[in-house]
Amino acid sequence: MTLLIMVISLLLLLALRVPVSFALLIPSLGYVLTDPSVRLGTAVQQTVSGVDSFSILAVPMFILLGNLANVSGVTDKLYDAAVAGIGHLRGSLGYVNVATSFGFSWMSGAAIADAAAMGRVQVPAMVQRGYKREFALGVTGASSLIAPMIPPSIPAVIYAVTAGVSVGALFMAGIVPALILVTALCTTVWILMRKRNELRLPRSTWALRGKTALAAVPALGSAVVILGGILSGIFTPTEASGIGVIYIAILAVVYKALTWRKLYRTLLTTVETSGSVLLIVAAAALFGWVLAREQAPQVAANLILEITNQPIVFLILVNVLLLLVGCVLEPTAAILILVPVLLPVAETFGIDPVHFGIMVIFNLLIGLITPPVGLVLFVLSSVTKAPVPVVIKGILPFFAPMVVTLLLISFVPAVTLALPVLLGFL
Amino acid sequence: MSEEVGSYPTSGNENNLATGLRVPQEPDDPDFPEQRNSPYRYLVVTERLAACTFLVGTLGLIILQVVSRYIFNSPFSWTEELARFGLLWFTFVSAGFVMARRIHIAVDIVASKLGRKGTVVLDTFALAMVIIASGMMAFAGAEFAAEAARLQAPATSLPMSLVYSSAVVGFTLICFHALVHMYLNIRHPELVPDAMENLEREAV
Amino acid sequence: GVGTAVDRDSVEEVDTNAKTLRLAHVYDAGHPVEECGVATLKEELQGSGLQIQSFPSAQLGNESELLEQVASGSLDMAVAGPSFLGVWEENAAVLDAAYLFEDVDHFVETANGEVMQTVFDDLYESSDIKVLSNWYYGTRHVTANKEISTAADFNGLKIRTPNAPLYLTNISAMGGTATPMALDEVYLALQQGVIDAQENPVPTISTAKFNEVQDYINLTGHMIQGVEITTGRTVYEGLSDEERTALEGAMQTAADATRECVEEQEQSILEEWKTGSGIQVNEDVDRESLAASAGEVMREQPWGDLYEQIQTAR
Ligand code: NA
Ligand code: NA
Repeated sequence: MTLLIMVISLLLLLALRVPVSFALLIPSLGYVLTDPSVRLGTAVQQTVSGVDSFSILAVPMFILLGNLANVSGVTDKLYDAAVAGIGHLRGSLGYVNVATSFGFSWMSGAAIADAAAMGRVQVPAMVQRGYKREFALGVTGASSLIAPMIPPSIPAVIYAVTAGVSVGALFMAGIVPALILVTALCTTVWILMRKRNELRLPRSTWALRGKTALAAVPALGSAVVILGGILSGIFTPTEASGIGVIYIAILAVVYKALTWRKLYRTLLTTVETSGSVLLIVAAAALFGWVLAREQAPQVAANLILEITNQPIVFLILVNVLLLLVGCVLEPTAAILILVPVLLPVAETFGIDPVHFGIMVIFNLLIGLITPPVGLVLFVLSSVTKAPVPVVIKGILPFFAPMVVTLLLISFVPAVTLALPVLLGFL
Repeated sequence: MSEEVGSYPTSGNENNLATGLRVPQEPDDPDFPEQRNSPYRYLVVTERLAACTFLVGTLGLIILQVVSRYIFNSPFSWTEELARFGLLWFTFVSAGFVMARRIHIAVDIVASKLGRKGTVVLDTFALAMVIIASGMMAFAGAEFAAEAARLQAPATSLPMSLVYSSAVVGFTLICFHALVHMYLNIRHPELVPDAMENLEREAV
Repeated sequence: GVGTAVDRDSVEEVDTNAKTLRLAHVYDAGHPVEECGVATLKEELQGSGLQIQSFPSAQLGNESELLEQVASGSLDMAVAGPSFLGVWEENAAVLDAAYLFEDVDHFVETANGEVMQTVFDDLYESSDIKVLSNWYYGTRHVTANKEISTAADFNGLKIRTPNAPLYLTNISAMGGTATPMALDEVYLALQQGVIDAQENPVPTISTAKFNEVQDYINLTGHMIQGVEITTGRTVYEGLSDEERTALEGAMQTAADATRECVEEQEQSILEEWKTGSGIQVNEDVDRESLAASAGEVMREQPWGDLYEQIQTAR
């Protein structure tokens, strides 16, 4: 009964446009006030403890890393290298779009950052070259989901902390699914572009290819620093995030892309994004404490076991639930609310928490490009001045590669688990 | 610094067509209340600077932790704890600043279906909820922080009240900014951002 | 295939008439604290009018948070180690000091003896935290890629410890360089050589698979460790005499059961390692010299007198 009231008031407050963090805080405070044995101070303690974590510290650092990479102009260098390399293919700017996102994904942990950076530059460039605006928007939006699948990844950090699994393991588990997504996206581009013979650029010289590729190499150095550091055990993921920030900052200085004013604005943009996300993390910790205290995981387990005792059916149910939740709720908030309840159930079904994590994350990412309120749709609309319905029309064909990738992630555990096992994380 | 730091927004309003008022496009542009009231502007600028300081300071501690492990060969035991406390202060001060810009993430699905008047009513209701909850958290936090003064953090021996004060400061700022916005909603309902506009501002 | 089908009959029954006490701890559901200790407690309390609802795996918070909740009455019971109790009452931390106890019997006698009773009474007086029982948690040994027999062997060795000051003090008192690190990062750090060694009770070493990435387990036995079962003043004073008697009896049985489980695991795992080809068991450790050098540092701690008193009482 208590649980039902908690969930209903959360949904009601969300619908009434109360910020997600406060939609989580208010029912929890109500719970604390009605239980005379619980002191209000405990609510403060649990809220604070939500962000009192060295692993969570990686979140603002990775946000800062992505923002710095964005202003430093490394995306342009990735773009130039991709155009020189594969520009002569039919529909090449579609592949270039995916390739640039893939390159940027090693520096950026969030889809929003990628969509904003790529949308601003590549959509106008594609339209100018004769590509349909819908296609340009669609491929930009869909490929922005690569960023949070490849390390570094903000949803992966949040999930790892919530589920109590290794951040490194989750980072590694996202790589193969991201490669599958890249392949699926390229296939979609190929299908959509197969008759557009006119959409190709002249073949570049090897000299230009070499030059642009060389210019893009330092940008990918941050991937070496972060991934290499974590893989070799030299850094923890949080330390790697800090080292990565320093690396990209130095690169931005070398590229002469950073003024003090720009640096201040980049820091403030990071403050804005982190402040919002981290307050949700804090509030969700209190909400989660109330749910745990009222034994929500056991209640959920009993509910689900009444429906099924088969893991496949369970995974299908979870996928449907997550796709629905992802349509309205931002991934971080959804992970924080749902994982503490669903993961224990998944574990009784013998599903590995790392496998489950990548499945949860990818489901929620799909929500970012799903109408009516997928945030990536609005980012693209905002930076390209294209109306939201046009963005939606463009993104529709790209749900096919999303679903294919999701099915492989959900039902073939090796897709997520093989790499972390191979590298000794599991 | 290549550009001049002026007291007015460097870019015009692109979203709020209803008013023609200038809406800040950059995080360091002053918004409507900042332009109108200088003590308020000093407060918000302080929040900006404090949040940036905590961010850069925590980054410094992370780097120091790596350096102490590899260069000095004997790691400091206090860097991690201090970095966590830095993160707490960063979180709550930033959350205060985010409330000043009223861009805390919300779900706009219902609001986007309402008309202008409905949006203003809904927004004011949401602000009232924020005021009540953040006021309670600030109050309870102050009491809790006072009690925790006798406890010490294991590695740094800092009083735990310093840790919990971050939440007190953060929720007080949130409560104050929400009150300011509530007042503005009543005095200048034309300033309330549309739901779609909000989505875009949260998104970028 | 993915996962396994679930047996639907494995759901716990709840007595709706009994007074329910929430008990939280940070160990996972498969750990002896839950599997032997809490399970026995639940069993023993059947029909007593009291029942335990357990929250394992740090669901309700970490050890310091749980103690704060117990002290303020938000939580009925918590399991916490001496280092964490030491935050509230300095002297309680003495139980985590290096080379305090001769053996497990010495630990059990001391934890339930008069000296510690006074300390626990002070804790109750100052902080409203009541220690109900002490459960044996395990004996900590150092694993490394070399044999460690004397303090000199620790020289230059980077040893991971939990991030609590006393653990760091213990290792440096024995001659090592302590590095605090979260438990789930230790496996990779050992594999990659970021750290050289770590210390834990045998069951933890086994579940975390550190035996796969270390050559030797050196039976240093530097901490014979227990955990305390605590409750708050309001809860304790709210119990009737019958309930108190029932709870105390159940706690005693649970303490015995936990000790039996932990000792059984320690022995069987060590036996397996001794006969196997993996990690080597180094029994040739000069504990006396290690204890002597540790003792010097321990006696300088705020609870130094207590340390001496407990050792001489043996
Ligand atoms: Na892209
Ligand atoms: Na990424």
